[in-house]
Amino acid sequence: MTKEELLSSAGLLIQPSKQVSAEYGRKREQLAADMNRIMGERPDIEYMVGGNRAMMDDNHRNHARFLESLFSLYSPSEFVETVLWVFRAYRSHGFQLTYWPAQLDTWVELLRSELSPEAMDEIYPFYRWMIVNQHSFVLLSDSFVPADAAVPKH
Amino acid sequence: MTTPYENQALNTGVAGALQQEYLKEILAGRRKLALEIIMDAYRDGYSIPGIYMDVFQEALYEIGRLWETNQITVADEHLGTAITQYVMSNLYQHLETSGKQRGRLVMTGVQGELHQVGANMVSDVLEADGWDVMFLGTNIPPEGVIESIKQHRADLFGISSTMFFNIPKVIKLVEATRREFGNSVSIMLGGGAFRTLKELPSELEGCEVALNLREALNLTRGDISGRK
Repeated sequence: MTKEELLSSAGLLIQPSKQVSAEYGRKREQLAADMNRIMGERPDIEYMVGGNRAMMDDNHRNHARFLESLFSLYSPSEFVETVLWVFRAYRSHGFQLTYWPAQLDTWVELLRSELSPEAMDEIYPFYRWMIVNQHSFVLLSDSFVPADAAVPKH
Repeated sequence: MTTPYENQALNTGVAGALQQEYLKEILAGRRKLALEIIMDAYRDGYSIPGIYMDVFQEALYEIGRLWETNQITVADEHLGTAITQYVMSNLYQHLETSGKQRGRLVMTGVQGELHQVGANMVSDVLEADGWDVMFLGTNIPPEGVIESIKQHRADLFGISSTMFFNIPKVIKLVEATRREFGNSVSIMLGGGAFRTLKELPSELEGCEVALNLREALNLTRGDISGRK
C-alpha cells in the first residue's frame, strides 16, 4: 500500500467521542505502565528492541499520549506521518520487525481488559488499522533504515 | 568515506559550506570553533537573520535527521542544540534591528513543552526585523503567559509546540488568550506539532501558522492583524 493509500484508508477512521477520548486519557498512564511491565517480562525483549529498553518504555508512554491527542483532534495525515516516523526512527535504532506485532497485540489485549466496551468499540479500529498496515509501514521505512541498524547508539 | 554530517540534503554554495563546517564543529563539541565560524561569517557580511535561517535552523534539522537514522546519539543531539544556543546568545549582542516598528510580540513554548530553541530563534529573527519582543522561554503556566501579554501590551502572541500531544495545551492557551484579549491580540503558531497537520483544529481557527523562520518573517511582515 502506498502512502497515499494509507492516508486514504486512515481518512475512513471515525474520531472517537469526547467521552471515549476522555476515558482513554484517564487511563493512559496506567496503560503505558502496564505495557512496559508486560513487554519487559518477555524473554525475547532485549532482542526485539535491540537492547534499548529505555527507548521502548518512552515509545509506549509517547504512544499513549499521542493517541489521546489524536482521538480528540483526529488528523489522518498526522496519524500516518507519525506512525511512519516511529517505524523509521525505531528500526534505525535496532528495533526488530517482530517488535511491532508484539507491541500492537499487547496494546489491544490491555485495552480490551481496561476500557469499557463502548470505548473499545470506538478505539479498536485505530489499532486494527495499525495492525493491518504494519507491512506497508515496514516497506515504506525500509530504504531509511541503515545497514548497521542492529547496533543501537541510544 | 563520508562522515555523518556530510549530507546531500544540506544546501550547496556559501550557505551549504557554512552549514557543513558549523555542523562538523557542533557535533564534535568544539564550542569555541563553532562560535568563531559564525562570528567570521557575520564579520564577512552574513546577516544575523540569514545565519539563523541558513545555518542554525538547517543544522538543527539535520541533527534531528541524524538521530532518527541512528548516526548520532541523543547526547550528540543535545550537545548540538546546547552549542547552538550558546552561539546564538553570543551573536545576539550584535543584533541590530531594522529600524521599522512592526509591533510588540510575546513568544513562548506551550506548558509541558521542553523544546525551546525554535521559539528563541523566531524571537531573535523577529526582533531583528523590527518587533519589540518579549521571549518567555518555555513550559510557562497559562496565567503567567497571559500576564506577560498584558504587561507587554502585545499585538502578536507566538506559541511554539514541537510535540503533537501538546496541541490540547495550545488550544487551552489560545482559548485563555481570547477570553482575556478578544481579537486584539493576533496569534501565530509554529513548531513540529503543526508540520503534518493538513488543517488546524476548529478551536485554533483564525490563528496563523509559520513552520519555519522564513515563514514567520513573511507572515509577520504581512497584515497579520487583518487575520485576527
